[in-house]
This record gives sequence, structure tokens and C-alpha cells, in this order.
Amino acid sequence: MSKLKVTLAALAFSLAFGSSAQSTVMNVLNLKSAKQSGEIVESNKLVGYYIFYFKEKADKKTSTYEIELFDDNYNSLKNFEITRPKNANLLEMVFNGEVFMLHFYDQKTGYEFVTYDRTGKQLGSTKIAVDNISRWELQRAAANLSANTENVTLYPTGSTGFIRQTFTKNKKLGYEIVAYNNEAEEVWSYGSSETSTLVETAELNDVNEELLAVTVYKKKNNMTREMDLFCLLLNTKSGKLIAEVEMGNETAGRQSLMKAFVDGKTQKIVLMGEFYKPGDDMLKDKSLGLYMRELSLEGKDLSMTQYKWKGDIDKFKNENLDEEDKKDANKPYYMFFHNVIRSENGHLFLIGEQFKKQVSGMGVASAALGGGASAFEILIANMVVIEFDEKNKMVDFDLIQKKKTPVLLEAGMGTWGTTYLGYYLNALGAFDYAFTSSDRAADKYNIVYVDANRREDKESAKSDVMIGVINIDGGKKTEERIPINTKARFWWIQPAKPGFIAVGEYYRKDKKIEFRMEPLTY
Amino acid sequence: MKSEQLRFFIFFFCIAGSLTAWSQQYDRSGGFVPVTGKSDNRDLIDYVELMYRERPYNSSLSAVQNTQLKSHYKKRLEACKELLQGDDVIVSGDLFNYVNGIFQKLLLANPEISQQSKLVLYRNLTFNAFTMGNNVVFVHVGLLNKLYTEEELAFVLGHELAHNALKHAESNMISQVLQNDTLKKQISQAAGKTYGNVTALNELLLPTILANKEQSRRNEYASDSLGILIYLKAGYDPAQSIGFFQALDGEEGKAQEPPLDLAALFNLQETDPLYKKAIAYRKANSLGIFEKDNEMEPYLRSHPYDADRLKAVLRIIGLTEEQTFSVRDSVYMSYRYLSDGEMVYKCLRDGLLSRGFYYSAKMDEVFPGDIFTRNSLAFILTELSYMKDRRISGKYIDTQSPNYEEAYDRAVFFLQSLVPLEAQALSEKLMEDKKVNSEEVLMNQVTKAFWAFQHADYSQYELRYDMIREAVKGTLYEPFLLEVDRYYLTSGKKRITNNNK
Repeated sequence: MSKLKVTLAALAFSLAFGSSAQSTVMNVLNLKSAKQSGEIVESNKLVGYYIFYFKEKADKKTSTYEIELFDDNYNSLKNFEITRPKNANLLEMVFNGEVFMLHFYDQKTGYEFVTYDRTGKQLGSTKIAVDNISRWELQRAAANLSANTENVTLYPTGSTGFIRQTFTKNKKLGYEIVAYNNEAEEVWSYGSSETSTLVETAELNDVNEELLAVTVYKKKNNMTREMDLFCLLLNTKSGKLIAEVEMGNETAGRQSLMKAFVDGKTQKIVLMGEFYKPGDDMLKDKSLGLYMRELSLEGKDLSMTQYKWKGDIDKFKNENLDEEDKKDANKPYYMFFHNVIRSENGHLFLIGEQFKKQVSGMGVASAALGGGASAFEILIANMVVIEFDEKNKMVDFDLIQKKKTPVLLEAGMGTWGTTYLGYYLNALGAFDYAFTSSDRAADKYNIVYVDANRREDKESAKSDVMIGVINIDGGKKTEERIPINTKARFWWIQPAKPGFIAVGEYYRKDKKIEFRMEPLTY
Repeated sequence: MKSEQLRFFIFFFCIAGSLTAWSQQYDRSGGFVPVTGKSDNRDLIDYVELMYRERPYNSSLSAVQNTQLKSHYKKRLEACKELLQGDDVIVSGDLFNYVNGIFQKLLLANPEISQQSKLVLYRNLTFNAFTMGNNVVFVHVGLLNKLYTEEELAFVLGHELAHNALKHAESNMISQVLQNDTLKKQISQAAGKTYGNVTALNELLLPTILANKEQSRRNEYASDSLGILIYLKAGYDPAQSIGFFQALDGEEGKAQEPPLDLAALFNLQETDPLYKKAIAYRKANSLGIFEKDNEMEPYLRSHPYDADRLKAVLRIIGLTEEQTFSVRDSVYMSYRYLSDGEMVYKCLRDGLLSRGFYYSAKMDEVFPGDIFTRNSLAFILTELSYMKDRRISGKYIDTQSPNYEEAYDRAVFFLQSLVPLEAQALSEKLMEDKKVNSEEVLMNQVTKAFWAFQHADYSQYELRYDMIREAVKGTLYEPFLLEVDRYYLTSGKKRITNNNK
């Protein structure tokens, strides 16, 4: 993962695709004018790429830019020219099957959301002056720009429009969900109260043409870890609140919300997460176990299924795991869940990774020598997939062995709770989990992680990188380890179209970058 | 007198050579053998250097302009030498002799054209022939691959000779020199603008670009006009002159190549699990279909539309399109076998496996059941099986593109869809034919070494590897075999046989 993260930074200069030979070849000399590049996403599926080029200064205040669109095979499809304020940045681009929405940001003039059809014809535009953007929102944009990571705030809602999640100004920090049509006109918005004295943030969880499921976090201030969670259900067309579902509370015990799924077939909403002891802190304390909660489309509780780590899940592990896996499964690891996948047959797959805090030999030595490291480290261990069937019955606990890797903590971090450290490591990208390649329509998912054990078997030589892939195809899970090798000195891997991984190779002598795609599974 | 004798001798020699070539079809019972090894092109390089030294001094240009012109000539010389020194030049062998026979026939029938003109066959997959203006005509094997008759080829050669005779390359260089002074100043002024510098450059250059393109289209018409006269003077049938434009139609996407019949190629029955894959196809359009901006396209073309060129040629020969015809010429086709083989060889040598698969399969349709094509297909598929297993196939097979002709895009779709075991199975299926499966062919032996490897029969693999390791040295198979053997050794397998260590 760390390698992936490091090399993802190279993506910013890596997307000037040129001719199409075998693998796509790019001329590095052309990359100077590329300001931003990124993936075009449609319903969590990577469908293409864009490059935002600077062309020229048009006058004192504006510049001309060019946007080039590529399909998911790196074929250049379309170029179109636009004029925007000088120093404009393209933060993100999404596609709803018919229309592209582009999110521009300029330090002086603020945000602009522009929609284009496939001919490059502008359909509409909405501007938000910089004074009307909260500082939290601006900080997020600035941080993403400087780190070359993509903003993820826009989501397509079928082919009729888009939804945006934003931070707003209130007395502390609020949220707003805004819906736009294909002409970039605001259709509705829903947000926290302007007079709220709480810190309230929202995360879009599942979006379809009918319903939006949003996780809302509420807490007294930014410093506290105590927070209440809600699942907000909104009508996608009107923005009307269907229900604000409380995810437990202080006295009854809280529930985290990993994922919410709106199931059109069963007319149910499935919420999935961990549950806690009354009074426990979600960011500090270890959960009691996992839950699955079913709601009606009106937000009414239909059922609640709980699996406790001690008792239910332990028992399942002891009955189903082989002796070797049992050893690792029964060690006191914490679990960080990266994703939850729901296949067409209603099965839920929780993708987790084991980790624990432990004393670090190197950290202790460093501390003794006056270094800045903590005496503790985090040991990142195996991947775990927990499967529940359509009746929420636990049907599998699979431990996927990979090489354990330590992550040294900085001084002072040793006192932090392990659960909280999990979130911290995740934000740093220190876990081995890399990405999930999704094709919801085809019911295919590939979860990709990096295994530090780069040998195919004990006797074989090390590959350049060993990736592990957990495939969930039509509700069936398989796993494999794939060695990736390259002759280039500088190279990286990154997400590609569903079912593939992209390998970028930079040949310094020829000043060229080659991209090739390799299937994740056969 | 001396030169007349020489001309007669060349004429006699070429006619004799051509007649020999035409009187018997190329014997391909032994399978295709590429023209390998670096050709000795010293004579050709000497010739282009001579042409450079003998470049004319243009008295209508100033001394400075003549210096600039000299630098253009120099660049042309260097470009030409670079091509001639590469591995893709074919100036010997049966295919070259055949095409050169036609070339010499055209020359001899047209004494006003420089009789020193040279022909170079070039191992390039694109549909093209060109001349740099120094009496050297380059013909890509990718052009021969789309033609069906000697007349079509003679028309192309006549056209290129006309470019030379009309000194189009020289006039281009002179016009560039004439534009140079004023344009350079304007460019630096435009580039220096604070605002709108790229637009200013575009506005400045566009008229020049359009004028150059227009001139280029005029040159093409002129070369067609003279080219058809060169063709006619060599005794070729006017009614068969325009077949070339049909091939051109295919290149411009108007006349699409039919898709490969993969089910027939692999003899797949409807019940065969691979049958569905062989007939399946989905265009890659993750972002849908985009309209191309083509307002400027007619003005930015270097060549006129082929329909317009066709009309112009028909006017000269005084025929209607209905009065013309093109019959597949068996002699030409027997030599095309060699050019198609060179295409496949080029793909294999350069690791262009999806192209190699496509051209081999196309070649198999033209020359059904041919040993070379079947062997190539088997080799490519077993290679692919290994590469897919190793997750390196992305380097060797294309991904789909809306820019490809559909027949090729379909082939790419098929190759992408194959899992390693299926590719391996297809390779073995092709070799079920005993006629194809010959231990005497090196390619077969390499394929079988791969098979053994893919079946994890390592003792068999080692046996075969040891048998062919010397024979593959310097051939196109060497890198493939080294790649698999490197992997074999690094994957912890120890050599069972140790005799060659």
C-alpha cells in the first residue's frame, strides 16, 4: 500500500496518453502543461480518465484550458477547450452515463460546477463564491490539491443529475447535501441547521435514483471523540427527509455505520457496522461485535442481527477455521474494516484487516538514542473476509494470510487507543489494503491488497510486488496472489477498469511512461 | 552509346527476371522464411549520399536561403540513412525481386524518369509507400498486404515515381525555406505574447498549414496523373488500374475488412465452450460514443479523398468505373504470401502479439491451412497463455480502441477474453494437424517447450530447452525463451538436466 500511495503521486504527471501501441505510451515532455488528472467514476465504477491542461493566459484574469477525456482503455476520446479564471483547478469529474459534471476551484473566485454533454457542449454552470464556502471545505480542496489526491464529493444519481456533499458554515461545522440536475442547476439541498451548536458532518453512503443513505456524525466539538451517529434517508428526487435513524446512543450503546445499502428488490435498507457497550467510545473502545440492521424504505426498524466477537464469532472461527488460521484468528488483533460488499444474492462481505499495537524494538532503541519514534508500533497482519448470507446468517470467516508488517508510530502516539490508531493508519494509507475495483452491474468486485511476502512460494525469487486479490463474483469468493514484475526502474500500480490493475512504468532514458493493464483474475 | 547498351542490358535482365517470376508461382510448400539478418545497404546509402552531394544549387534563392535549403537536404539524408540502416529494410529475396521487377519494368518503359531510381521494401505494418525525393521509393509490406494484383502495385509505384519526377519533395523544401524568414519572426512575436500566445500561434500557422496541405493534395493529384501515364506506358491495362483505390477505401474505414472467422479457424463447434468467445464481441465504449470534430478535416488532409482521386484517374484513362475491373492475380498473391509473412515476422519480432495473431489469422484465410500461419498462431497463443499467467500480457496485446478497424478490434476482444488455459488449448488444437506439427520447424520446437512449461512438465521443458537453446540464438524466439527460462529459474525450479550448465 505504501508503495501504491507513493506512486499514486506520480499519477498527477502520468496521464498524458499518447499513441496506442501495445501498452499505452506517453511522452513525458507533454506532461508539463497537465495541471490535474484523475479518474472518471460512474456509480463507483472507473469508466475513464481526464487530464486538465493549461493552454494559455487569455487575459489578466482568465486562462484557457483544455480537457481531454480517455476511456477506460486509455484511448483518447475527446478534447474540449474552456476558459476559466487563471489558476483554476479541476478538483473532480464524474459521469452519470449521459453528462459529465466538473468541479472547478479557484482560490479567488471559489467553486464552479459545470456540466458537459459528450459533444463538449456546456449544459450549465453553477458558481459558489469563495465567501460562501466554508473553511473546512476549502481546506479539504487545498489538501487534496497539494497531495495530488482526488476530491470525492460528487456522485451521479442515475442519468438525471448529481449529488454533492459539502461542509457548511454554521456555529461550528455543518454539512449540506446538494442535488443538481444535468444543467447544473440546484434542485434541492438538505443540511444541518445553521443554528446548530454541534459539529455535524455527513458522508454519502449509497445513492440511487430513489433514495440516498447518508451517515451523519454529530459531536459537541472537534476535539471530542464522543459522537452520535445517524443514518439519514433522503428522497433523491425531492430531497425530503424520509427518516433520521439513530445509530444507538450513550445509554443503549452506539453503533458504527460502515455501509448502508438500499435494496430495491427487497424494498429494504440494510445497515452494517459494529456495536458497542453502553457508554463506550467508538473511536477508543473495541466493539462488542458486528450487527446488521434492516429498515423499511421509510426508515422503520425491521430486524437487528448481532454477532459478538466473543461468543458468536469466536465459536464460528473455532468450528470452521483450520488449525493454522485459528492461531492468527484467535490472537488479540483489532480489525479495521475497509469495505463492505453486497452481492446480488444479498450476501454481505466485510473486508477487514487485522492490526494490533505492540512494543517496538526499533522504537525503544530509537527512543533510547533520543530519536522521535514511539516505543510502540502497529503490526498489520492478515486480511479477513466475513460473509453473511441474505438472511444475515454468518456463513464464512476467512483469514487470508499475508506477511505481517510493522508501522512505527511517532513519539506520543503510543498512548492513543488502538481503535483510533486504526483510523489514523487508514488515513495515512499504511494498511496493505489498496483498493476495491467494483462493477456493481456485473456483480463483480475485486479487493486488492499488497502482500509484503513477494515470493510465490518458499523457493521462488521475489517479485517486484505481490498483490493479493479477493474476488467476489456473483456472490462467490475466491482469492489469489499475483506477482507483478517490471523491467522499468520506476514503476507503480494503480486502479484500472473493473477486473484489472494498471501497471505504470517510467523509462527515464526514453522519457516515456507506459501503462499496461493486467487482469486481476481469470 | 554506352548508356544505351547498359539500358538494354538492364531492360533485358529485368524482363527476364520478371518473366521468371511471373511464369511460376512462388513455391511455399516449405512455409514462409523471412528475409532476416541485416542487409548490406552500403550501395543504397552511397547512393543517397551521392544524391545529397549532387543536390542542385537554386539560383533563385539567396545564399542564406541556399544554406537553409542545404540543411533541409541534410536532414533528409540523415532520415533516409536512418531508415536504410535499420533492421526492417528488405532489399533481397524473392519478394523484393518480384516487386523490383515491376519497379524496373515501369522505369524502363519511362526513360524520361531517372533510371537510377531505387526500390526499398520496408517491414512496416501501415498501408503506405513514400519517397523522400531522392529517387528512393520505400514500399511498406503493410501496403502489399492489402493489394491483390500486380496492376494495383504498379499503380502505386508509378505514383511514387511521379512524385520523384515532379520533384515534389524539393519544392516542399524550397517553400519551407521561402516561408522561413518571415514566419520565424512572426512565430517569435506570437510566442512572446503574454495573453493568447497559443491562439496567436495557431492563427498564424493555420494559413501556412492549410496552404501546405492544399499543395500536398495538388501534388497527389499531379502524381496520380503522371503515375497513371507511367503505368500505361509500361503496358499495364487501364481497366485494372483503379483496384488500388478499393484498398484505400478499406484503409479509410469505408470498406471494412470482414471479421476473422475464429470459429472456423479453430474448428469450434457450437457446443464447444470457446465457441461463444469466438463469436462474442462488445465494442469498448465505457464513456459512450463521441462525435469527432471534423469541420477542418477536409482542409487538413494531406491526400485528397480517394473518391475524388478515382474520378480524376478515370477521366485520364477515359473509362467509367463500371468499365474497370480487378481480378485476384494468382502470381501477385503467391508473392503476397511473402509480404504477409514478413508482417507476421515483424509482429513476432517486435512483440506485437495481438497484431501478429490478427495478421496470421488473416493470412490463414488467404492461404488456408498454411504451415507458417498455423505455426505462428500456435506460437502466439502459447506465448499468450504464459504471459497471461505471468500478468505481463498487457505489454504484448492491445486493449480495445474505437480507432481500430472493427475486424482487428474483434480480434483484440477475443484475445483479451481468453484465460491462459484456453489460449494454451487453442494452441494445441492448431497443432493437431500433423502436417503443421513438424519437429523440423524451430518455431514448433519453441512452442512445444512453452507447452511443456505451461503443463508444468519441467523435465520435458528442460529437454526441449536444451535442444533448442543454440538454435534460437539471434532469432526472434530468443527473447521469449529467455524470458520463460529466467522465470523458470527464479521460481525456484532447479534444473534436472545439468549437461548444459
